[in-house]
Amino acid sequence: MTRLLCASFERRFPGGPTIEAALQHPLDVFSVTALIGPSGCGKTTVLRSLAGLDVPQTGRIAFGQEVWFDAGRRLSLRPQERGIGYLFQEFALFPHLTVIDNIGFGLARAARREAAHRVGELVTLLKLSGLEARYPHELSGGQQQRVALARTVASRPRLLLLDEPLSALDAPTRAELRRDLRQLLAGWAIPTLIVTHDPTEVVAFADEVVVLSDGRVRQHGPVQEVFGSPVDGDVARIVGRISD
Amino acid sequence: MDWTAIRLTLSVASCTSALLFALGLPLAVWLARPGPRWRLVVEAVVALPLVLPPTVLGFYVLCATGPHTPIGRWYEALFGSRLPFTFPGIVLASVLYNLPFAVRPFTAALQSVDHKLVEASWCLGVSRLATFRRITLPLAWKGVLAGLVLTFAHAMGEFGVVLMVGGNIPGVTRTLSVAIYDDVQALDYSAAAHSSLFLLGSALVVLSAVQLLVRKPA
Repeated sequence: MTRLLCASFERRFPGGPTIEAALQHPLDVFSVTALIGPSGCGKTTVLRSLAGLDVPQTGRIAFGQEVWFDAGRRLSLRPQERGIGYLFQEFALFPHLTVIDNIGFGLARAARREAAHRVGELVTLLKLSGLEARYPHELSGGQQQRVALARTVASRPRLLLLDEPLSALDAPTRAELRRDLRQLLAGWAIPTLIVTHDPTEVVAFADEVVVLSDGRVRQHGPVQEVFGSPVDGDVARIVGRISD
Repeated sequence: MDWTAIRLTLSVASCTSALLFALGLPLAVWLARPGPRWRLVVEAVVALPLVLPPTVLGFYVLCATGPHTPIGRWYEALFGSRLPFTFPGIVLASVLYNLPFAVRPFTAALQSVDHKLVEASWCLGVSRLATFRRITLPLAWKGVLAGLVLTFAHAMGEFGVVLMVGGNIPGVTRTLSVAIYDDVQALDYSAAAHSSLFLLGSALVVLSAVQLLVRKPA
């Protein structure tokens, strides 16, 4: 039986919007699901709820047989217990630590030699050689993004959550990393959920797409299907089939 | 120069700063994050010494720690001595009076750390305590240290609460500020001038140190 990430929950903000999410993502085969929608539609809230950074009011999140969140049982695993990797939109690199210390930050419990080996591998793979002793403010946007990505995967997460991984970059760097990112993700073979507002990124990375609007899931399916036959005008506009 | 009073004053200021670091920092951690609405009451209580006359605070501490009060009886049973007119008594009063001078800068320093960095650490599997030690504190240490230095400086000049709770016992509760008052009462202006100059000089040194700490690099 294929293991799935099954999430169905509702997050209400006092005096603000309500975000309803329902999604599934296969865990045994490598696949990327993109969450797309206009800004403020709740994409990041969905990702934060999956990570345990935000706690929904109702619903359930299960990672295969493992229950991460169950409102009925008042159960909510902490982010530390979920074994996830979360890439923040602005990268959230630790400003007081060097590139090498940022990448190895989550490996404090691993054996020193094993940690050094893993960090070294990622430095080479992500073309960060020569930058090991630099601090985040001494790096370009693209380099910061690669350090953040290396840090996120260094602890071998079971699920990757990427929040607008390219939005903080300038256009040429974005184009370059868009090409590399899918290849890197496939190489690590970690199930991935990616939040974006850019339909070209969905086409470049994702196998499945979840379209969110006004805090609700409007359509969920393979990228070709959703982009080929959007259920309504709203979805068509979000996936770029109708220009504003 | 009244060296006994200087030694006592430095001891009161050191003990006050150490206690406020140990107790004020956890309180500041709690105050720095969004929490229940009644937290506002705690914030108000912490800020109270900023507006309350020291004599009023000292009066309440004196009343609350007397030998016939629950706190007084509990303290006497535990340590075999009383709080009013003793060194621990004036340290307690000084801690309460200096609460805002430590907790407010601590809270501001902790709030200045981007919460995303803390969340990033949690998502990397690092516990809350280790995240505080490895991320929050290294990024907020300047503000925390500035708060501690200010507390120390402020505690050095303690007068009202100390006089109310400790009285004027040489070598036990007679701090430098109390000694200055005493000297002036006895018309010994020379002794008062020496002690005042000492306090003025140390306050200037300490405030310069704080300015140096909080100044942003060019």
